[in-house]
Amino acid sequence: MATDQAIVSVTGMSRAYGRKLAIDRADLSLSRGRILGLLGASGSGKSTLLRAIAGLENIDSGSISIDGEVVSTPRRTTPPEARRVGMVFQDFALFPHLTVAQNINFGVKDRPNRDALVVDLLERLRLVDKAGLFPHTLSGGEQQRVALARALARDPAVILLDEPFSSLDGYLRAEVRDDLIQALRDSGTSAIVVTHDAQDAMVMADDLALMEAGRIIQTGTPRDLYRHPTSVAAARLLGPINLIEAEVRHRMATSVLGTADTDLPEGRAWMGVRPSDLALTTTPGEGQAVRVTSVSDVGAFNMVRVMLGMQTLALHVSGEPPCVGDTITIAASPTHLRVLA
Amino acid sequence: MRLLAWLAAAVAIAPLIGVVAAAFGEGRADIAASDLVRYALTSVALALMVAVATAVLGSVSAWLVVMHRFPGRSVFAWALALPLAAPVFALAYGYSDLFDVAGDLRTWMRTVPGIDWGPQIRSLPGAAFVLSMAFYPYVYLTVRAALVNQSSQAIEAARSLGCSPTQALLRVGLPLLRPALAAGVALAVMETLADYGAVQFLSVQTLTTGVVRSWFVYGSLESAARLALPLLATAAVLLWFERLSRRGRTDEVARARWRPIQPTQLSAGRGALAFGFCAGLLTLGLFLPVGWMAVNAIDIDPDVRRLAIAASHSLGLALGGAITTVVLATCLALSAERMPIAARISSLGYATPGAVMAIGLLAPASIVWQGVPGAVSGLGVGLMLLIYAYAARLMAAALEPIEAGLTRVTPSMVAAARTLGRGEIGAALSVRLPIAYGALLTATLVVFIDVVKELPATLILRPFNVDTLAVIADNYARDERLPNAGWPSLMIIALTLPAVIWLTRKITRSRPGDTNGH
Repeated sequence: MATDQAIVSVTGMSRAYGRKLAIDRADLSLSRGRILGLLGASGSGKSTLLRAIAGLENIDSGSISIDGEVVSTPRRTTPPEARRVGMVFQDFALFPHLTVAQNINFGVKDRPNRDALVVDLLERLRLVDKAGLFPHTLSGGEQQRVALARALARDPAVILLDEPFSSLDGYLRAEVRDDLIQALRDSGTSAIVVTHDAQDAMVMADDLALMEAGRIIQTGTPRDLYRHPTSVAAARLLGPINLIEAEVRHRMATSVLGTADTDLPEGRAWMGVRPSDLALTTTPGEGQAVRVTSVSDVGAFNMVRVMLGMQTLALHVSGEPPCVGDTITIAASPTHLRVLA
Repeated sequence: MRLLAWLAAAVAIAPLIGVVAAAFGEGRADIAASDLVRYALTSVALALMVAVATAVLGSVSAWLVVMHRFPGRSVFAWALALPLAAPVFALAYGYSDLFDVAGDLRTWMRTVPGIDWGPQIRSLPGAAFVLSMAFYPYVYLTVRAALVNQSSQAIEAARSLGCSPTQALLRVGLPLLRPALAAGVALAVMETLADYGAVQFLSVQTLTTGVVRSWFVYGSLESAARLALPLLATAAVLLWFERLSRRGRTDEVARARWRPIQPTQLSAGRGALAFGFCAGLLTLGLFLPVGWMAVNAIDIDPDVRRLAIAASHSLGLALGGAITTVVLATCLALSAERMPIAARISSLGYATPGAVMAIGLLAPASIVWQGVPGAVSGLGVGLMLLIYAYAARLMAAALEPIEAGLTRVTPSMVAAARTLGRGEIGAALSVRLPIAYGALLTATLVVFIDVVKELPATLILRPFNVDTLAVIADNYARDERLPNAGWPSLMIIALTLPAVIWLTRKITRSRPGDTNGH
């Protein structure tokens, strides 16, 4: 994934704690001006990778470069203060003994134009009236904007955001996320966002890297990864998916829901279909008859669970839902069937 | 930073190594084995009596204040810890004078009600009484903190499972308190074994008085060190026990869901009893002996010049000791997460009696003294050694509040400071220490209070003609000039009381999750 335009380049990087391998030969590249989402479950190693890029973790193998300069090798780690990175932490990590303005000023004390810079950032992030306040008096969204302003003040080559929304909930989360994306885009700074939330990742990122058990399992654009995951783990990271056993013969996978082309070797595989891609059908001779086991109204649609043989599948039904115990017929378009290893 | 932390740990451990080295060195054994056994048995008996008495008094008073409403409760919450302001030898002087056969009280009792009886303070039970009155606040503070922190949820859960209030207390409340009680009693026993001024004055021969006598009477460093060895071993065991108890403490349980215990309103009669118990304890622990001492002291003309010089010495040493100790403890605390062994090593000093610490410093001190010819530089070296002894003994006492204060600084705040251009030391100076400012002040005051009251190490290590208030109080008391001893004792209390009030009010107002400064 490395490119000539890469502002951050991670090559074959590993990091172990005792016998536990937290990062396993990771390759990653962030292009200038883009936002890269690092998506993975808890413990997948994504925060460790981010901290290694920030210089807060040593690495055991491989290398990390920022803006063309090698900053981490197993033998040498440029300390965080000497890297051109800004970091926004999960808990924001604002300094409680300093005001908003002093927090933003913290990293630029030695710069001649610092006052103008702080005022500019306060304005850009709509914090002018909060300048003299202490962090504990601010809302979660405001605290996050302060954390971003503080990181941006040093004019970093890359901003690293570690689970930036995990301490926010409900409607505030979406609002703050939109705000943050806007601010990041306005600044033109390259960024890496670590998250375990597929929706956050898809909304924020230009490019995605999926992580599982310390390995980067797939990279690409959010849409590409959502539509064309190459493994069960990758498919699951981006949202709920129904998995059905399939058989691969002559580059064609066959399951009870249909057939799809594949490059996988002959033998058993999985066929995945998202709940939103399964539909009720009345066309004779098409689809599979299944029994409805539960129906839940989740607002925009009904979540219907059905039994196919011994397996439970989920599908989204808009409009009038079936009743529990009904036998219905479901089908999926071949373009929505994913063959997974 | 790491180097300074290791230096701090070395400061704390060096005197202990000195004691062991001196004990196994070539030298006279001036103290017979039978004396050693007698001293040890007296120490054990005294420690047991104090342990039982402080456990009962400290936990009952904490239980009354936290779990009940009665007149004066909010004042008692912090005032019950005030005996910590008085040096224990001052209480011994006060009680000894009060119940003296020829004293005013006994004379009045013989004359008016015609009773010729009074407690024998200069005895083992008398000493146990005085020490218990002085040290019950250690148990009070730890049990009180555990009661406040345990939240009402555990008790409420027991009630919802069919327990009556008493059953809930016995089956859930008390087992939860056991670790705090053990920790408080361990502290009281440590102080008991470390005490010299009070037990010596009350004619009770313990290992610590043996250590000091061996040095002063026989001039035998080896004998003193041999007597100190069992104290050192006991200190290590007590410290281990106290840390073990703490590990089981339930302070951290459900911080986020902590809800205060709703105290029970006591009836007028029971409220009066609770008031009487707390007021009685405070009277016996502070007001009666100190008040009596003050009344007698007023009758005599103090040697103002001598007192003023001693006060300046006490203040100077206390400030020097406090600042040195806090600086070293801060280096240790800042590196503690990466080098916990250094912090643990330094804790050993806290359980070690001051006399033992001083004995451990004597051998290296004599080498330094011989190497420094001038009287002035000799004085400087002597003062430095004394401050060294205070720092070695009180490092852990300073370390604890500083570590607690530093927990307010999350790892991500330090990481943020690093990514914002600060190095390790820069992050410590600009983020960690300013946030833990209150804790640094607390640690300074804790050490200050202890140094002002300190006697045995000061007696052994002080340079010639450098008397502190504690030393001249001890000198007067040895000459049986108790009213004269009252003045320096009262001056010590005057120096420590504001700090103790500030600290106890701060501690008793704190709530779970608030780690600011303690």
